[in-house]
Amino acid sequence: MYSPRMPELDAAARPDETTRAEDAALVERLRAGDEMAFADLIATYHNALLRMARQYVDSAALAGEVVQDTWIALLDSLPRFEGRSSLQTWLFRILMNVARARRRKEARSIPFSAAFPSADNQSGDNPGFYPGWFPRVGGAWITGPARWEDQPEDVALSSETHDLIAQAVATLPPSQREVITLRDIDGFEAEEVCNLLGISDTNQRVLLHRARTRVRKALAPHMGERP
Amino acid sequence: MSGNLTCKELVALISEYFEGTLTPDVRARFDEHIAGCGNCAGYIAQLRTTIRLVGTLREDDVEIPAREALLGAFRDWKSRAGAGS
Repeated sequence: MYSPRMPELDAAARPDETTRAEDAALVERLRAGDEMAFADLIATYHNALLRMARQYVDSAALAGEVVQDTWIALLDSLPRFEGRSSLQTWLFRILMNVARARRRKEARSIPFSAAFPSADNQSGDNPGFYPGWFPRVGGAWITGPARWEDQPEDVALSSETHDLIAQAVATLPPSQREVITLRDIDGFEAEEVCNLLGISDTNQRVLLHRARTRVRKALAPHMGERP
Repeated sequence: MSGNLTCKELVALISEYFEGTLTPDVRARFDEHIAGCGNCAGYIAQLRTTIRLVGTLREDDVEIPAREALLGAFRDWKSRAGAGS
């Protein structure tokens, strides 16, 4: 079960012998240029680092840069790593330093809504529908949404469908992508997302809904629509 | 609002429906409309399916370009630092 919780950080505790040995072995492999070791490390920590970085800087893009810089700083710092803390603690301390420095550098704090102006073609501030769905006067669908084939819950996704959805989410406007990722992929609650991004509940809900309707639209041709 | 919801009004309320923030009164009208409207029921089902499918993604799926860039950076670091044999 995918959990969005952060790894426990106990800065005061010395690592136990097992951890020290594992860390020392990993550091050796990294210093020897073992790419698999580095890929494993990224897979383990990259997302958690991103979420922590996001608390320091104003956008997901900046958080991504902070984490990229953190990984390089980690590699450069390896000669100085003595095992007095765990490698995990070392890594997160580097992240915090990089994130704070970056935050200071970003002299002006841009409000989230100004950083990502809404540029999609959905109508109005709130309603999640497209022009042409409803007449200007009267409230019935002009043409009802076409039927999708039933998607049984236990059927594994084809890789084609999976790639289509990943593509649809990856190409959303950044503000929408951020909210749908935090809500529907990471499982954060609405209130947590509002706190993380510094946006109102209404704003969060509108962005989420726009994102979902965009992805639905991208999926529709693929879902066996029958006229 | 009073009386029955139109489809257009319902669609405008869908985000609140999914968030669970409709008042009981409006929610009752919402449910009543869906019970009798195949178009709206179908649209909501499609959104539910969309949400479920998005939920099968991992953050890696939308972060792949970043991972490739990092591995490239590792190789650059390797050659700078003279790591490996």
